[in-house]
Amino acid sequence: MSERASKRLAVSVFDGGDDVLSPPARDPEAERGALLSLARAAVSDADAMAELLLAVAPAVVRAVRVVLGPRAVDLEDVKQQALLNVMRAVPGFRGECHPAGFASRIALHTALSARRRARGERLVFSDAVDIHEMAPPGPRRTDAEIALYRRHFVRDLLLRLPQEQAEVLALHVILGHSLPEIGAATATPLATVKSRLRLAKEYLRKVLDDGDEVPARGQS
Amino acid sequence: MTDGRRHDEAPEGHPEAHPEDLLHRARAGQFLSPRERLQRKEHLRTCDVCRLLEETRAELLDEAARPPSGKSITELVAATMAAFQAPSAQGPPAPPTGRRGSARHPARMAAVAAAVVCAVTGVALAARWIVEARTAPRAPDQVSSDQATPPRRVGHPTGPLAAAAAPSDGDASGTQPAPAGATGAPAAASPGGGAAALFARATAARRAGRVDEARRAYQQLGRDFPATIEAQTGQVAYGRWLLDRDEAQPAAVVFDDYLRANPRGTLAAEAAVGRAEALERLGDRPGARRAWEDVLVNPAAGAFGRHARARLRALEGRARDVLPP
Repeated sequence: MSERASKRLAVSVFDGGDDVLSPPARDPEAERGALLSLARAAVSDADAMAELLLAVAPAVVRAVRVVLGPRAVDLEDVKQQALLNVMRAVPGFRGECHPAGFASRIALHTALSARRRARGERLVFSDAVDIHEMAPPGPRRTDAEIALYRRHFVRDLLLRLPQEQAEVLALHVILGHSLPEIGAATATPLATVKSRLRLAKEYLRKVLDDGDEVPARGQS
Repeated sequence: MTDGRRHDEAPEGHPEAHPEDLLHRARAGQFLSPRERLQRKEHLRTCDVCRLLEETRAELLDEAARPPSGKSITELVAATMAAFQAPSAQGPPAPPTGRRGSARHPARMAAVAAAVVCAVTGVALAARWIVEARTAPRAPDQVSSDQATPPRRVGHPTGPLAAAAAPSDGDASGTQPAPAGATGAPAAASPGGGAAALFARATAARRAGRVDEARRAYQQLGRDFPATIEAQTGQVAYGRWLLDRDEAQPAAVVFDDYLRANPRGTLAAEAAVGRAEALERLGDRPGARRAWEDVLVNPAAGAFGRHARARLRALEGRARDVLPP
């Protein structure tokens, strides 16, 4: 049963259980084919489901942590909820895209929803205050503070954008999925995906032009 | 789906055009010609939107890749699998996501079938608990906690983990066949109930260096929930932990028990490697050699083949034995 799961679990167990956030180097097409087979088997086989989750969990965790930040109080809950949502969505997965992209999109959606909900409930994030509560970068700010501000700025931007635009922006620009992949994962025409990305960037342009200055690295 | 804004497509030659393909290829580490590199650099110099996103992207990914303080991937998957099955067995499922086909999810149907089996088991266990309750009354919170999770509990009196770590534990309760709600159970047995919670507690204690607590939690996990994925995963993690603590003898027993119960289990390869290492540390060279050979023939042990061959060569050199070709 599940050689790949064994190997992946081996990494986690033998490394003391730390997350493995970088996928192993291998033939992407072969891996995609294997994962698609696994996804089909996972519908009726719990072992295959576990193996599939092990394969996509790093992408899920990465997406959630990008949106929430590494020290959000509900990070663990959201990670698990995202994986649960992936499990529930697997029967509807038709192999239109790479399973990791499919899982990333669900994770992103889950994390954005959680962040919006948390904001509505005024849930306090331990590592982050609302972007509007942070003093904008000034001359006496350190690079680390500016970097923190920028991260919050982009996370805040993801919340302000319509969900579809936020998804495309995060999946493409931050998580590195290609636009055709995103189109396949979201069952959206490529032109619409491009349009959403353009609109997201236009919105960001407007925010920057309206005075939310975010300095570049090393500029204080 | 709607954008909530304009829903048109990108016009040709839009003034706010960004070289998305170029930027994406650079992100993906793909080859860019000198001209493309120059074009990208020039765009990032003039477009503060793309520059901000590119710079922040690196920071966000760097931040996301830092070692986490929460569950590992393995633990997260184990907990998710448990959480997915638990609501079906004990009550209504978790809030749906609105995805199609979930009502006929075969895994859910399997979980429902498992719930029926567990319910039958639960009736028998309930009868047993009634008898126990009459002979040994429990605190009210213990009663409610146990009653909340009866279907998942398997009443095996002893588990492999308890036997494995008993010699160095010094805790008699760890080897006793006490059900979780009985008076003879360890103090940690009652609250928290389920396998996932126990697994999380064991892992947290192990990481925090709370040796006795971790040992007790792993023992209880194997004893009370032997058929769960948490127990099986925990068993191998426990064995590895014992090995790291130079407790080779109990580690070998733990790995042995896992392999006996799960010869084709998800972690069989890791358990086989752990067993071989334990035997080697115990000085059992013939046993270690056989164990490493077992690793080599294990179909799931491909990732450890090189290591196993290296250990076999080392054992061969040390003992000057002749291995079969």
